[in-house]
Amino acid sequence: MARDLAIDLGTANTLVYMKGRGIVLNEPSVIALNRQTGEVLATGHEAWNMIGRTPGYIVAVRPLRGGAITDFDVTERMIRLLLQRVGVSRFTRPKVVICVPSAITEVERRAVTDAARRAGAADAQLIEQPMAAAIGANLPIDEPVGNMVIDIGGGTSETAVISLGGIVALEAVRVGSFDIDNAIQNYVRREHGIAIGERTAEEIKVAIGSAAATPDEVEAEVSGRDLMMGLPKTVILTPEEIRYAIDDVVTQIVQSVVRCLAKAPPELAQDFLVRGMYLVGGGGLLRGLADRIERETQVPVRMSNMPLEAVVLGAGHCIENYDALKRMFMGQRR
Amino acid sequence: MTVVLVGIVVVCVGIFLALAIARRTPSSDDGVASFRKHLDALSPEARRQVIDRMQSPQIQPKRPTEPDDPGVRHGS
Repeated sequence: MARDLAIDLGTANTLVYMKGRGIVLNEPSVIALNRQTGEVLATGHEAWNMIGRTPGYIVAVRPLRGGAITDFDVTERMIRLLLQRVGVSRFTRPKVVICVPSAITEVERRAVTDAARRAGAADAQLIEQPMAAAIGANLPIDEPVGNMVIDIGGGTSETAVISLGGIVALEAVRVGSFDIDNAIQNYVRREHGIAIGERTAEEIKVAIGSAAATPDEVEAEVSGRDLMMGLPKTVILTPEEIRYAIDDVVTQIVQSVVRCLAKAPPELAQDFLVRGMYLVGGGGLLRGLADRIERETQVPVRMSNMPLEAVVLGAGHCIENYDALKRMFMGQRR
Repeated sequence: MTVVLVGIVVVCVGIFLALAIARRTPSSDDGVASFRKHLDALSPEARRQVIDRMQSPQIQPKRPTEPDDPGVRHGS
C-alpha cells in the first residue's frame, strides 16, 4: 500500500513529506543529464555538485525557473526518480499534494499535475505555497484574525494574508534568491571584470550578503576568471557593495509585501501590528531582510522556526487530513 | 408472482429516488459541519503531530552538505 506524499517542488530545493513518517527527502532541484543520450546521470546533491563543472557531454540543469516548469520532460523524470527513491513503484501509486506558487498559470498547473501523474502518482492535487507555509509555520489560520506570511523562495516571493482557513489577499512576484545570485554575478562581472559561477555567487550571498546593514560585517575574497586576460583573479568584496548589487531585487520583494498590506481589509490590517508578519523560505534567511521589511512597512517581522521546511510541513498536514482539507487544494474550492 | 415483482421494483425505485433527492439537496447544516471540520483540521492541536514529527531527532531530514566553494573566502 502506497503512503501518500506531499512535495514542495521548489526552484531551489525539493522536499518530500511521507504520510505518517515526516520529511523523507530534502535535495536541490537539480538533474544531471547526458547531453547526447538524454540519460539521467545524477539528481539532487550529486547533480548540484556538478553545476558549472561538467564536461561537454554532461549538463546539470534546474528544470524549474520562477516556480514553473521550464522543461516538462526533465521535470517528469526528476519527479519519477524522486518518487522511486521514496518507495513508489508502478504497483504502489500514492496520492500526492504538490506545493506550487500561487501565481502559476492554468497551463503551468496542468504541467505539474500531468508530470506527477505520469511519474506514478494516482492523484495529484496542488496547494499554494503561502497557504502551505502558513499551515507549516503553525500560524492560527483557523481563527478569524489576520495572519500574514511572506514566502521567499528561489524563483518566487509570495505574500499572503490568511484568515479562517482561506487566502484573503495575495501578492506574488517572480523574483527570488536566484535573482539575488544573478545580481551578484552581474555586479562582479561589471565592476571587477571577473566572471564567477552561480554557486560562487550563492556563496558570496551566504557569506556577506545582506538587505540592511548588520553588526560584525566582514569582507570576502572572491576568485573567478578575469574577463580581459582569461586568467584566474582574486578580488575583495565588501558587504556594502553586495547590498548595492542586490538592492533592486530586494526592493522588488519589499514592494510586493507593501502591495499585499495595501490589499488587506482594514479589520485584518490592525491584527498585523500586534501579531506581525512571518517570514519563511530560504530567501528569508538573507541577513537584514526582516529588518528592512519591518522598517519599510512599520509592521513587526518574525522568522518562522522552520523556514526551509514550513511549506512541505503544511502540505504534509494536508495529506495527513486529506478529506477534511480538500477545499485547500487549487481548483477544489466551492 | 407478478404483483410481488412489481412491488419489489416499486420499492427499489422509491429507495433510489429517496437517495437521489437526499444527495441533490444538502441541508444547510452540511455546509456548517463541513466548514467546522475544515477549521478543526487546521487548528494548532490538529497540526501538532506533524510539527512534532519534524522536531523529533530520529527523523530530522538530511540537510544538504554543501562543500565549501573554493571561490569564496570570507573574513579577510
